[in-house]
Amino acid sequence: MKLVSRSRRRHRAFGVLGITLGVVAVAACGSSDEARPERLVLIAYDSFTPPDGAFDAFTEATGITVDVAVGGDAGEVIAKAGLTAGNPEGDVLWGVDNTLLSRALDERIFDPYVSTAHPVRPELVVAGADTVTAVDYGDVCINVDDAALAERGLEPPTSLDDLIDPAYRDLLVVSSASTSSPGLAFLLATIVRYGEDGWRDYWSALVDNGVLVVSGWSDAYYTAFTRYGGDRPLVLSYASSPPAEVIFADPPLPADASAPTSVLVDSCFRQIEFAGVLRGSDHVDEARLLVDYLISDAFQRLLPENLFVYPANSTTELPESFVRHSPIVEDPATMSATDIASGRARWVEEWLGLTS
Amino acid sequence: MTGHETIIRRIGAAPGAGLVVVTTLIPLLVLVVETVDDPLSVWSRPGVVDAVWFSVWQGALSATLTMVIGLVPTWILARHRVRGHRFLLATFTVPFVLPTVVVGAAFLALLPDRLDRSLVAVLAAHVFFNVSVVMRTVLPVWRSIDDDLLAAARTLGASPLTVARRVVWPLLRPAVFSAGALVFVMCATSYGVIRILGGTTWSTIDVEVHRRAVVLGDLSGAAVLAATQAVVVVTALALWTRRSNEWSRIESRRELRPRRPILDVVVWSMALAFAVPVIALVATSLRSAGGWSFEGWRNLFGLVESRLPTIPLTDAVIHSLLYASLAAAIAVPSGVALARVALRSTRRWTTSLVDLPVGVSAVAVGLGIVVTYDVDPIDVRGSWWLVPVVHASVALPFVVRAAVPLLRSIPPRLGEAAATLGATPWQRWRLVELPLLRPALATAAAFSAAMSLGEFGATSFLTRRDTTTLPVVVESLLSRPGSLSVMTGSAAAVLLLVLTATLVVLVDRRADL
Repeated sequence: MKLVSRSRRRHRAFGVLGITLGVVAVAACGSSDEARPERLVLIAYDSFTPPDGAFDAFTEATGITVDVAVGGDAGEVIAKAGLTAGNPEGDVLWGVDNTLLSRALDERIFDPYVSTAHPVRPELVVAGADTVTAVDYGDVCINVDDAALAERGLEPPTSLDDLIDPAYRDLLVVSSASTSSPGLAFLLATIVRYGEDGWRDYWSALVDNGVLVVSGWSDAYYTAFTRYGGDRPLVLSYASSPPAEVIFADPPLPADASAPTSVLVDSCFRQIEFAGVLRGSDHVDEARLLVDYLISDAFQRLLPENLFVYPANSTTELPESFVRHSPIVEDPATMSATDIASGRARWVEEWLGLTS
Repeated sequence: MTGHETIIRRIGAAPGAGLVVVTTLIPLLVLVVETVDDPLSVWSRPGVVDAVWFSVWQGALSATLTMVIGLVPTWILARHRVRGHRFLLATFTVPFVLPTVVVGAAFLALLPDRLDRSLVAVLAAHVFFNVSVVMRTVLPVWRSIDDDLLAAARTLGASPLTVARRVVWPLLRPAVFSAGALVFVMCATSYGVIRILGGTTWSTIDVEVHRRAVVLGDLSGAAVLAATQAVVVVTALALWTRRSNEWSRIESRRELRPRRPILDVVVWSMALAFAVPVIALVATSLRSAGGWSFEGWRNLFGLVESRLPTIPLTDAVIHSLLYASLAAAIAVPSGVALARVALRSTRRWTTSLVDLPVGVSAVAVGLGIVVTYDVDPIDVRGSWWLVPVVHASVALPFVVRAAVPLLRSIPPRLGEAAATLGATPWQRWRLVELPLLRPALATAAAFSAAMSLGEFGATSFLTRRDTTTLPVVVESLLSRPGSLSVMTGSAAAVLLLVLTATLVVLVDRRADL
């Protein structure tokens, strides 16, 4: 803020600005490509937060450093990648999920490569459509604040049908299918369960039973959910949220305590995330090595407690916190990326009509 | 005015206008050219026309309310001695930088249930965020109204009301209208507030642009809406500016009126009302499942071995401050130079152009930058300095608005006198104009820095490596479950707020505001 005072300071400020711009210009010109890259750029969404040193093993083995470049949520990352298909901002992209995959395939964002370097759960491999590699999965489910529900003298709901039972009136908050990714997943779960013919009636009944629709996950979880000051003990979140409630509890919970929230298993929708080599990368061979590394046990075992997703690698063991607090979702609702792509816009518009 | 000087002045417009053209206008045009296939189809999609209409009337209503509510403390602080006036100024400025997710949560917690996610909540939040725009634009002008002028009017028998209506208001009107226009644009293009407090009922054009581009993958529709919004906003502001163009000429500074307890009470209770969401935020940072706890703060500052993912706090603070300084260093000189041109020029295109960055959706600009600057040697995607440069362009309209009224109030004959005494143009600028401009420069610098500190939309959208800012840290903490996440996230938001308030107070002190 030196500019605002005396003129001599002003000269100095201009000097600093000049130097800064000079540095910027030099920095901008210094990024030329070499035959053997020393760095690869991994594009990801904002909440991609592997711990420090997560890529050290890769660098040790290959001599290549990994720069993580983030920017926006998964939808925003795909929107940018779609516009820059063929001339990408990086070499590998982490985090396109099955609700966005068709769009990525339509816009030819990826250079086809499915890594077989490590064993991946077979049902996830199929979903990758021979273009990308499955890296993790998770389930979007209704979470229950058990204590708050007990205070109201209610048992936790056990099925989607329970949610339209008047006993659970005004107790549920979900995020919008039109603006949030868990919201869309929940809409898809109801479409899978009740079919093309039944889901509209189900949603009308939900609305009649007082479901609150808010715009995003944090809005639902941190303002409307009873655990954080709201008045709704049922909230749309993830199957991995109960372990997070334990790991991030304050005051800390004893190791053998049970999680304060539980999951309505019948409401779950399976989200699968993929990584792939970006078409137009100058370092395709090295980028493939990085995709291999992303499904290696060394990297996969970091995922549960850092990204709160389940490893795609079938040999990676779950940490204690997940074994103890996260339910095993035997039979989540699933839908293929092509079906999602063909129905999504119409479903969301109809859903908007039903809920507003 | 010699031809030579005119040319210098014209060149003075280049950095500011260039900034807007390069960061906003060209990316938007390229996005439209590259993506739009059918400019008309989007208008028949459900909700689109409603969003446009809602943007307009809600923006007008929000702006009117903000002006009415904002002018009261502005008047008190401009004309009277008030206990702790710098602190008060900072209090009214700070909301401007608070992350919307934080304010949204605070408002939801404070408002009675039946007002949750209603129009009332949206309007209240818009007033809360934008009163600082009114105060920062109008206060320097109001403070510089000559006392003798008012005394003369009273001597001639004018009642206080007549003085206010016939003397003070005409002098203030340009600044008030100018601030009002900016607040209108901010509210009409509101994104975060609408998403959180408007629930799913209300949608602005900005929300629609995001929804189409990101959720539905309809880039063509998004680009059409973004371009429409930009054209409408710029045209409206250009017409409005023409209408309110009789800027006043003010010649001397004035003494503040003595302290009056009643006014102290009024302004302090308003400040208190503004502090309530802030207090709620502090409370959230300290409230754990088992009572009060400093655990969130300890985690934030790395005082305990954290169970949270690594928080790059030091980096985030350094980046935020660096970006804020760079944004101010770019926006203030180019904005003031531009304001000087705008004053003398009869053509309004430069001033209207400058308003473009506030009228364009951050998503559209982000996408535009990605498709525009994507070939060597201008492949700048992912460069760290894109963020402060974009911040500077968003701050530019505020800088120009802060500078124009005071630049206009500098009597030309001061400069002429100096010229007669042999001063060069540079000396005239440095020794005559610059000292008179200090309050405006302070306002401009504080605004650009605050704007940059609190900016989330463009920062998070642009692809970046290791360059996290504080608002991004706040947002990412608040997007995971667990008490510790929300406590630490709120603590980070409080830190952001304290940084901003400190910066604002320091700048105000320099400027004698």
